[in-house]
Amino acid sequence: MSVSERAVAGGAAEAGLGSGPEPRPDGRRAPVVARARGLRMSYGSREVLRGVELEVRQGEIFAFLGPNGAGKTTTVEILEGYRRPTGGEVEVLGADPFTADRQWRSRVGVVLQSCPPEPLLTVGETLRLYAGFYERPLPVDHVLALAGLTEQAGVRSDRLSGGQQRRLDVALALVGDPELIFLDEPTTGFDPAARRAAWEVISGLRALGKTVFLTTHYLEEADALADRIAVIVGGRIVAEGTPAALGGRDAAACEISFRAAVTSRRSLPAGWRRRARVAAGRVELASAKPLDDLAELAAWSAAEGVEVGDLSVRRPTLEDVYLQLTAGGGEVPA
Amino acid sequence: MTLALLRHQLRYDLKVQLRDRQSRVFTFGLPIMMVVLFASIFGNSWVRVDGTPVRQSTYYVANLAAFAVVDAAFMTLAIVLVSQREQGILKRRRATPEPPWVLLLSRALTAAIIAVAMAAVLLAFGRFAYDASVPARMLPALALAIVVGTVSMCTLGFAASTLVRRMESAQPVVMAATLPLFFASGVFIPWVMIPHWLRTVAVVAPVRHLAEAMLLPFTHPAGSALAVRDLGFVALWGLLGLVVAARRFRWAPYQQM
Repeated sequence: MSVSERAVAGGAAEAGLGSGPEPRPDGRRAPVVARARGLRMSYGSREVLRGVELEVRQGEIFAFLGPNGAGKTTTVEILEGYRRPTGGEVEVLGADPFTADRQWRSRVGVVLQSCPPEPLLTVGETLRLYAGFYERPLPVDHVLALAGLTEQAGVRSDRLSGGQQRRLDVALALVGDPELIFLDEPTTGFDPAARRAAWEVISGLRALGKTVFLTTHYLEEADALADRIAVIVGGRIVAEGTPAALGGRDAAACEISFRAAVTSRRSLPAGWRRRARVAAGRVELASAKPLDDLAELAAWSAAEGVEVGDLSVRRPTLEDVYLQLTAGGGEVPA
Repeated sequence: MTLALLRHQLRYDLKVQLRDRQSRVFTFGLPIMMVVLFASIFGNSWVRVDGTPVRQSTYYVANLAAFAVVDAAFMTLAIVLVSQREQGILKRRRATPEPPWVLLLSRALTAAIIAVAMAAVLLAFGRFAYDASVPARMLPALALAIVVGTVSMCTLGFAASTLVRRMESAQPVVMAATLPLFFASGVFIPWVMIPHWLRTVAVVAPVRHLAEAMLLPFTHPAGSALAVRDLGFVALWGLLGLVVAARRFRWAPYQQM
């Protein structure tokens, strides 16, 4: 099946951009393609993973976040088959990654962190070399177009820009037409435009029906791309959910704030007086029922003739939630 | 299927090895340049090898052919392996369905092909420029010396690559290990000029024995030209290299963790 056919027949219809792990039309969730249960890993006396639980479902973009040293890379390398965990169970595409065979490897694509491509080969040659390892590779021209490297096909890969090299990495992971793709910090060091372009490539993978396991440092990247996010801190998963609901973000209080000529809480509407903060001409309120509080504010403003300026109603951002989750640095506590 | 895969991989490995014009010229030009250099410095006189007088130029052709084998099959291979491992190229290959033995064998074959080609170019040059010829019936012995030397140097190259942890130190470490050995083994300076104590050290390493095995077909046109004991000794080193490489070889960079 060609890329475009697959996009129409499989991914786009079933997974659909942005729908990922949500119940499919038939009401069932997509099957699990990667699962970790009670994953443990120690290097000597240093415990890096302390019971990691993960579940990645077919067709979703799964973002894996965590501070440096929290066990991110170790977890990914166990799932990729590079390391054997000290304890727990891991199953990826129905097999133990560490002992998996060639057949399994042809179903998985891996983009490692900061690994330069073959220095003296051109982009096209590198892709043809890799394509030769697989039984049913995608046509090289297709992959070049997918990664936006068609014009660079004849350029030696050590002469590419940083962003182009990273796109070649993605292209190399794609050329075998894998079902599951691991992307380890694919946009680190990109300028904003290059990052946007990379995001398009990655969400394009979902449209092709691929499952993507994405590690990243950038919260807006996870927010923009991921269907589900898991956060690892100190070798444990501390939160897991959709970007909108991570860490109870959807249920968390709203922050309402505005600028007004008030100096003390006593002049505020009755419902606000006890809970609001007033500082430097700005009033802030953490609100569990923002509509009620806003209605009272509107009535008060009209009745008292107080001008409400620069009004904002804001839920905690993913970054707020993440910083709260990872407070403490993520090092394994003694 | 896998043999086709090996051919596929080998084609690209050779392409990489021969792409850079500078390194191409250097690889094949260096041994020839050294032969010319040594032959003109030490004159076209005679030296005694095991009692047989040999032209100095012939001596150098044979010895530098041994140098070429060590250079391509051991030094270059070890440096390439360290840099590919530390850059993560080997690690990334492990994530593809390419069987590991295809990658490793292709790497070794690339080194071996370059080594044999270098030796052949040098021997052809020696014959043309210095009349350093080997009788036709001695050619199998010479070929066997090249093959045994190349295979052993390859396994030693794999072994050496596991002993160097940093990409930047690969070249200096390999140079420091081999250059003094070339001098002590009579490759650059005639063996008769090497002091006795240094000879006893040098004969422990395989370079001297490989050079002897390459020289014998030139010096003993009448008797047997097969240096069985020397080649056996080189092969023993090769076996040691294989054991070390098999136990210590790793795909992932040392630098990462």
